[in-house]
Amino acid sequence: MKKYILLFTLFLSFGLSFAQTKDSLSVEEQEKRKRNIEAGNPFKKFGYTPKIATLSKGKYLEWHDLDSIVRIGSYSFHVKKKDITGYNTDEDKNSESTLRPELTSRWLSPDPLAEEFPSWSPYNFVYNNPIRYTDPTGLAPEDWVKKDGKWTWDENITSAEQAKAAGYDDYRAPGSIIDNAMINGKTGSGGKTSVYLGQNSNDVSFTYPNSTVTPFQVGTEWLSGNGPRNREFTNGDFFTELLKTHDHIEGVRGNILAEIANGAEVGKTGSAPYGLGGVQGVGKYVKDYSTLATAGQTGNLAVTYLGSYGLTWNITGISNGTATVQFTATNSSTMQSASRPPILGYTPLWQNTMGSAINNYFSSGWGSRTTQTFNWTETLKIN
Amino acid sequence: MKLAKGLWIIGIMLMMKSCVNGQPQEQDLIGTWKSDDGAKIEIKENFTFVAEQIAVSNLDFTTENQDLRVDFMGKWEITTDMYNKKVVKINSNKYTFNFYISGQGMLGNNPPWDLYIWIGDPDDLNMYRFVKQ
Repeated sequence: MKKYILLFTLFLSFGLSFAQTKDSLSVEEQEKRKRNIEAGNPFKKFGYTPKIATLSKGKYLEWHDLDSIVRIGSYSFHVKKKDITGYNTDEDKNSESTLRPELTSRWLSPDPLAEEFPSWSPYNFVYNNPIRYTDPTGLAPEDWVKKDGKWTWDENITSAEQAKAAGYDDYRAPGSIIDNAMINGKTGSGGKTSVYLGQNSNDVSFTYPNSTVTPFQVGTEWLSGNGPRNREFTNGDFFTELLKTHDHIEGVRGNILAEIANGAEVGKTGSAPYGLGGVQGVGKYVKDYSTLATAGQTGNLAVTYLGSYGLTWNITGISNGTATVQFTATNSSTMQSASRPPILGYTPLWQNTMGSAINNYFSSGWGSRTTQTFNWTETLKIN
Repeated sequence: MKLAKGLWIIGIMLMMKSCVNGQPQEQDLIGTWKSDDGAKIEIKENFTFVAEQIAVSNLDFTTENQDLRVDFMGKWEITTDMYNKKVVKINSNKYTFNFYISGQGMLGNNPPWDLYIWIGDPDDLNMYRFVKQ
């Protein structure tokens, strides 16, 4: 009997409980519980409602701890499993540059290179100008630009105009030489008082200034593959002054004066390359390289290194019995030019076979192509 | 032994002949010469010339406009340069330069002839070459 009484009581309790729950909830309470349950639906925006687990049947807004998955840059990372759980296409790591306020991020630390940019906040990004600059490495803007006395690399700037517009103090193209400069507060030694700003942010080294570098030192740079691959010389530089004493240059001066005597006027331009090809080149070879045998007593050390060179001249002024002439000489140093034999080495046959093969082999590194340009002005006396 | 000696002498003579061979005469130059870049020089019998669409950067290293083309006219002559090499001198009011002469064969000294100037350093063997039409 007791057994039946117990079962009846139980059924009655459940029935009353169920009836009370269903009947006692107001419409507002039912809507609220429905909203609380739907708040736990991660697929709501896709229009799909799965069975959602709930402990209070929606009576309370239940909150689930999702902090085990955190977002780091573009990746979702499970901090307990120590594993990447997903990749986010939203590039929110630089949210300041995306101009999307719904994406938030913050700096984890001051800029570790802050000392390199003392005039900028250590929390700035691309000089607060994300439209103009990018920072692909995350270290610093990249191309050689100067700010507050320090040179840095900024790949987005390719001209002095761009650098000026961006607020930089100065600009240099890759491969430039800066005189009287330091690297990390240290000066060069052995006459290397300049700094070579190379083809990337790591290509920086001490070098000889153009004003004092000798043909031998330029030759060493070419052969070793270290240092500048292009030098631009001008009036007063040691190399320029040496080249100016070359017999060929003196002969060209005579030709220019003859041109003026025959009526040449300001603006006239001439081309007078110095070549070593043909039978005539043999004598030049002997003379130019005799410097090596006579310790510089014969020939011209500049031309011993240069070999042949291109030369143009331009009359820029004639007055009071003098003519002002602008000279420009160009030279390239390649393994082909250094190794070619007289006469045969200047033929198309050699160039298209051995010559091109040699240059291809030495296309980079030691013995690879270097160039020199000489610009100088002279005043010639008209007889 | 004598045969080998004879062959050496013949070889040297042929070599020397090939070196001095190939001296174009004025009559060989009369006509229109064109380069691959569209430039043209008309060399006339009366020792005048007309040049069209010449790339200035090949004549003047200081020019800022690397694409600049110019027309000019003046006088020409066969002469020698400072080193006794036979050249065709081109002279106008604005430009003066020497055309070097090259031909066919291993040493490039047989007709038909080409006229060229060096582009930059002659070591690079880059030529601004004109071929007779």
